[in-house]
Amino acid sequence: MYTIEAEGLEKEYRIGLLSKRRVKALRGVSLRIQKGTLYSLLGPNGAGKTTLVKILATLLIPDAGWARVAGFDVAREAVEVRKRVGVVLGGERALYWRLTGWSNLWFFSQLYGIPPAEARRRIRELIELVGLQGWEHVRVENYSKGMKQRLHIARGLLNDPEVLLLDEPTIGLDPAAAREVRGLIRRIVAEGRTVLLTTHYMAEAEELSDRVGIISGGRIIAEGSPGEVKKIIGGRMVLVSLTGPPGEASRLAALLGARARSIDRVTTIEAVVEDEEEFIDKVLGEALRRGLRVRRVEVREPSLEEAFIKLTGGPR
Amino acid sequence: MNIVYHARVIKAVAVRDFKIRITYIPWIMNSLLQPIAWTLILVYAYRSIMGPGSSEALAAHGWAGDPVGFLILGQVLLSLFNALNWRAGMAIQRERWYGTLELILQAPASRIAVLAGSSLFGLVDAGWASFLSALAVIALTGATFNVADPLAAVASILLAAVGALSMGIGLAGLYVLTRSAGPIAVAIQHPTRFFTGSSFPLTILPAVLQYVGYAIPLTYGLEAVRRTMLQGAGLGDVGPLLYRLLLLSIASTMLGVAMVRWAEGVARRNGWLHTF
Amino acid sequence: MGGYTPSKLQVLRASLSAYARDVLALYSAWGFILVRLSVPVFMVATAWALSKIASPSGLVASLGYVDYVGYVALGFAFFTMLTTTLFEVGERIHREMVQGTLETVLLTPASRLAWLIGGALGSLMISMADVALVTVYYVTLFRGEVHLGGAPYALAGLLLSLAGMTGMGIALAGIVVNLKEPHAFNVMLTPFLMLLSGMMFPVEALPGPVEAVSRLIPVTHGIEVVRSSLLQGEPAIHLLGILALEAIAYTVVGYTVFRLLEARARRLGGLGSF
Repeated sequence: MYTIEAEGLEKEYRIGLLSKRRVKALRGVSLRIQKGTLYSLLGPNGAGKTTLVKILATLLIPDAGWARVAGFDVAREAVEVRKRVGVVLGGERALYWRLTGWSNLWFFSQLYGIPPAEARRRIRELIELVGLQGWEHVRVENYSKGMKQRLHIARGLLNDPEVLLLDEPTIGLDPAAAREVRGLIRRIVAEGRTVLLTTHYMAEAEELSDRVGIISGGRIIAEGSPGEVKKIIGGRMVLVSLTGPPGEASRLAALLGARARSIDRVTTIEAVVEDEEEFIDKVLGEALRRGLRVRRVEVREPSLEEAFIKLTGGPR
Repeated sequence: MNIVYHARVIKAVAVRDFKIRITYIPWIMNSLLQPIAWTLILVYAYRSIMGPGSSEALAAHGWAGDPVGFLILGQVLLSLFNALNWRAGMAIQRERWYGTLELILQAPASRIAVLAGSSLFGLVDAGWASFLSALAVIALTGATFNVADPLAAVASILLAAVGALSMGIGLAGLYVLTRSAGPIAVAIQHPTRFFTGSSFPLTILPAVLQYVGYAIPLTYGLEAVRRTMLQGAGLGDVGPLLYRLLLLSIASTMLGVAMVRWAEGVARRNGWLHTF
Repeated sequence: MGGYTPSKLQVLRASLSAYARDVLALYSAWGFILVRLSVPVFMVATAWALSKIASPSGLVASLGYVDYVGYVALGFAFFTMLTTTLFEVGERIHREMVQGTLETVLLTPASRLAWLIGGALGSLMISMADVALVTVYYVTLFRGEVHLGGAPYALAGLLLSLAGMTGMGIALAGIVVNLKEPHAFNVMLTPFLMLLSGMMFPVEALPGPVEAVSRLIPVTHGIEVVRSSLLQGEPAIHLLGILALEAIAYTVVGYTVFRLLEARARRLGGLGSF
């Protein structure tokens, strides 16, 4: 059973004076997300991630196509969808900084029509869930970025939503705070909720997701479990570390169409290739000819990040 | 969606506005002191141009005697409008500044209830400040009032407040259409001061400008309040004014609500909600 | 390697140009343009309405000002210009604090005085447009007349009161910059300055002690010199000396207050929050 379904979604923005410039944000996006799973939507800036989240959250009406969330149409049954969805938009804003965390949650609980006694109980639970005990009566302007983000998530869960839409919830957080938020997301999914997460952080998506969708240029170009997406690009990741005359290893990488990274005097040539043995032979032969010494050779599965870069046409 | 839910939303918005408001002490002092300063400026300006006692010219416009009461009532209602301009009118714009607009609109709560909550708080917030500043000016300069029919006076004040509120909601409909709502909200205060006749009898103006004044609900409220509190007028005397005030207030409120709804739909279609 | 010391003129010019552009960018939004264009119209129009109930026995007329519209138009124009100078300094320092550039500026070897005055002059250039606008409204819409022969005296009075207001502004900046809401403070102060400056009525109408306070503010004498020069053609020359003294006093006080607060902030380790 799908909690989120979308078919052929299209959205175009008109910007600039007299709306002359048109930007196609979505070009026929179709999506199915099963109940109780976490789906990560990955994509470069401007790929259409936020537009898709806003359509599913009823904040935008698509130009074409349809979407249903928790069984209701986002355009025609917006109020029913709103009752069942929690939205967490990234960044530090979208909170009343001059109010305490408790007052923020109380205010939104009333906008969702939660009866006062239940709202108090729910807020207490959520404050505990997101680990803000002791801070709930402090003004939000005194919170750290991580605390604000956790408060955002608590707010998103106020109406006990079937579906939680998380738009880059760990953006700008330090590693410890990001880890806390990821732990929180895991607990939310374990409660049986359906979560749609957009993120730039591949490791985060790989760690949390049941399924991953890669969106680029307004289209979903790859979809599946993290393992399946990595397999879509095919081949293996080969890393060869070299030392020797300065610049020589980088020139070799360029010759082979691979990526080179240098740390201290060691340059590592990286590439996702179909035939790893042939590639390694080529590197070793050329290295010998150019006076380079081989320090290490590693062959492994490509990571989600490497798959993402290859699929979205980023630098190799 | 029931009435209790709407009432809770209205209360939550009003309480939230109150809690945020009390963190801005300088602005609270401002809402108290500004009307005092403005009224004093006008009182001294009148005294400087008219000389001792009243001027015949002022009497010819129907307001004989010391103009202090006339000016105080004008400023009180104008301050009420100004406050509602910023509270109710700018309610949606303020959410944009806080970055919370999308979250408010994503909630299933009625937009009218949200607007009503901000308006309710605005009325209370502006009401006490206007009342206290009027008392301060009376204490500083002295003023004479002549209330023959207290019911008429109370009805006039209440309906004038409704008029100011309806203008706030009407302006909310205008402000959602632009990103320059802040400066427009500043700019609108000056023509309102001029055309409603808050600082001088409206009959001074040429007929064509008076028509502009009588298209504004506050103008009727001001006249009704002044007639009942300075000239001892009764309900029968100000009835036609109050009737027109009510009609204009209903029209302004309906227009504001319709515009807000329409603008939300346009913003959802065009992706302007974050800049709404 | 490094070691440059900018001249005061260089700092003043850079600061003037940066802040004039800053203010211009702010006011180029159509909403702000609307405010700049409409506020003076309604201010002068209100004076016109009040002039209809003016009596020849009134104080304004007895002081020799027969045209109340001109009285308020000039009062309002120069009041706006002078108080903009007063408030811009504080608000600008606060803006620098909020956007995090105050520390960067104070880290440079640039003269603080040149930087502050440059900024004030930058905003002044923009607010001069307001004066031109009110004058155009007055002359075209209300058929007002000004004695151009008095212009040099008006200019002298204006420059002296500007210097005084800049000094006051720097002192005020030291106070408001520590407030969370300097704009609220300035908005609150504006009508009281209007009351004390005699923008809409002669300060002689105020009760004795209040009138005495009003005479300590450079804008009061400045407006009086401008009005007497341009509306009566008989400049109140005796006020120029008082204005010069006020200008010197306020500049010294303002600069001292600013340096003291800067030194305090450096001692306490909070230049970013001043």
